[in-house]
Amino acid sequence: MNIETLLAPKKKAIIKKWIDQVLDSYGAPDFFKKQKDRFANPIGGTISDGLQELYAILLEERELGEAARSLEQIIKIRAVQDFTPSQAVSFVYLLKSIVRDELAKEKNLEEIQASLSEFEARIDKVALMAFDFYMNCRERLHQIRVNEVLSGRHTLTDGTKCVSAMLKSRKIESADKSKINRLT
Amino acid sequence: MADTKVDQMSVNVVKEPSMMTGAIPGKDWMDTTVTFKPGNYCYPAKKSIVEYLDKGLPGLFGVPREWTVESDDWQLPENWVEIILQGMRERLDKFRSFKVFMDICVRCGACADKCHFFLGTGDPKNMPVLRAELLRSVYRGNFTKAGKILGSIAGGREMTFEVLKEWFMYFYQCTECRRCSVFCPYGIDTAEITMMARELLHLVGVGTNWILEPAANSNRTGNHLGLQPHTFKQNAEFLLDDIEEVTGVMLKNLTFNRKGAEVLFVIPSADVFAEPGIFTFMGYLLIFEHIGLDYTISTYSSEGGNFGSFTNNELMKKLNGKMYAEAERLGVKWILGGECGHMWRVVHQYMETMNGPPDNLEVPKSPITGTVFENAAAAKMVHMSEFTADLIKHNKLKIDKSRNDHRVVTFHDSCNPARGMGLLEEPRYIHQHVCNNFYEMPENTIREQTFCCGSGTGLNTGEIMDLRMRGGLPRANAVKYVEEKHGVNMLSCICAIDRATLLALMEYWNPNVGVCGISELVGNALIMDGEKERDQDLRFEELLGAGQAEGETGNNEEGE
Repeated sequence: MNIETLLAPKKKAIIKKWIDQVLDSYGAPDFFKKQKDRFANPIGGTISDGLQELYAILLEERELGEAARSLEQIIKIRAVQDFTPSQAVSFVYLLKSIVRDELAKEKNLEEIQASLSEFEARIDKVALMAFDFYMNCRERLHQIRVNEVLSGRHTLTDGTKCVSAMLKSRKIESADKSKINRLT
Repeated sequence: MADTKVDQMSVNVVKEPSMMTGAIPGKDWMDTTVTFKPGNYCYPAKKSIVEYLDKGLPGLFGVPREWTVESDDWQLPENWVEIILQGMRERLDKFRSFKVFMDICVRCGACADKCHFFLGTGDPKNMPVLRAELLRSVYRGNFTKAGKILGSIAGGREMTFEVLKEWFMYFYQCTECRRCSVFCPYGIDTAEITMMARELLHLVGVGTNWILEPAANSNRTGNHLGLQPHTFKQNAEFLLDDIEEVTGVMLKNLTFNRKGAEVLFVIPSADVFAEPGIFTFMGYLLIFEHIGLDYTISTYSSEGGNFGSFTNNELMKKLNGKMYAEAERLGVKWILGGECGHMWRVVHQYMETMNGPPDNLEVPKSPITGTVFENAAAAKMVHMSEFTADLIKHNKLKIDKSRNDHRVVTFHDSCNPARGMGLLEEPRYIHQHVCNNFYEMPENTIREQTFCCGSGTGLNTGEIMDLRMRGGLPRANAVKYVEEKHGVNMLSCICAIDRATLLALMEYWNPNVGVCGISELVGNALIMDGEKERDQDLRFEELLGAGQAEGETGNNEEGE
């Protein structure tokens, strides 16, 4: 017996618990849990789709690289919300305790010890990936702020910039338009 | 963002509310206080800016001073509570809508899940009903019998510093986009509640620099950046060289401050100096040259955007009045407005009772097609998309829409033109005629139900980039869908703030999608008299199959 077989009948319950606990980190989670339209509920939709996908990848021993997309979508959201970095990525670890709770009543736990450890090691690896994605998101965000300043978009409302200097630099830049265009 | 100090971080992980500790706050909303930290508030207005505005409109912007948002001492005047309550009293008397909106909400919750800030944060105080309740509770506590006697039992409360902080936090997490109002069975315009709250905040000197400085600049020189006439003109003319490089045609019709022109053209000023607005501007000029429009641009009213409308009705009126004063001075017949957002809300909904009716102007009539814009009979001002759609409808534009074949386009209904003036069909009609690849986003994210860019009403500032990304999530989420499904690589819109802020939003959420104004697409597709063989678009990017597509023109010939 391995963990996949043992957890198969509990799949729905585990995923639901995982999704609910993650959504509980928001101030008004009920709506995020109920609304099924993913355009009316981007957070709920992304998190529930993403966690289902992640669970399948983790349990079915698929290549962990496949987790990247779902993981990135979720982290991207949590990286710009009012969470500390630890709060933003901690949802990955939640799966460990949920699975342990589900397995608590199982009698033949001994038999699957090895595959449980392996499963948890996979969760740890995904958690490490989550850190990388988190940093990636934050760095991208700062790059966007820099781009906004460089592109002159901030001048939409910022009166502190010297206009003649801006015109001068525009003339220089126009020689290399394609470079600018790539940025935008 | 989290504190990076190690000791603080350890405390955060162990003690702060989190999923790991299971300590999610479960207090009643009235008892939950706000905490300002870097990234969740806009910087306060500079003293010099408030001093300047106070000269023109004394008392409306509070006492000029330096103050910091994170401090517990905002240097408020001693009688600040009195000022707020008196301000509220005056506004309840003056604006019947405000009084009605304070009284009639039954808290049905239809609006609760419609706000992009709620959808992006999950914060209950971003539910429009609860955000409005922040103000309504003070109204009840001070202006209704039940609230005065029963206090919080009747949903009333006192005006305290904590409440003031809440107002500053949440009325600056509302972009006045009015999506919630679409769903309100009573038709409460929640944006106007935010407008009132911001008026009251300004009365005690609580305002942001990102709004007040551009408003001051607009008042002084005519545009947000404070560009003086010669610089504005120089910037605009600079773009003529770019147009010539792409099309081989040097445009001749662009003039400034010319008396006796038929039409005054008012743009959002970002269109002459910031990408990608400058490409939209090139599009405008190409269209006007193509049809031989007799128009001029004023350097004194060189801004359609009205940052005054994010402060109070007096400054909104003053900035709006400049456009009409210029129209009168130059003796034009009517005004044509560029692809701008809140300019249109102000023109469409407030101008007539503030500065109108502008009797010196005529009901707009297109000199090219003869169409009389009856819908603009009051404002005497026509939207660029209405004008362009009418030209296309009458086959007045020679178009090669294959020149936009490198673009797979979706359209973001900019909130103010869509919900504020009902401009839903014209932009789509234009798209259908100037590009071959156009796909709509899902139904509940467009037209009247469009999601805001997340950075309107003066929230388009860098210090709250996190907040902007959260607020823009529902919009970006819908763009992502069409990007994945149809390969969309361009998000078009008709608002200057959109053009600036969707760019940042896309860079974060959908980095393969660019942002443009509709007139840029029109400009790309226009076949100009005497033009050279076009192998680049207005951004100097290669056209698809450049040099091979000769003769494939005239795709708009299906006739109307």
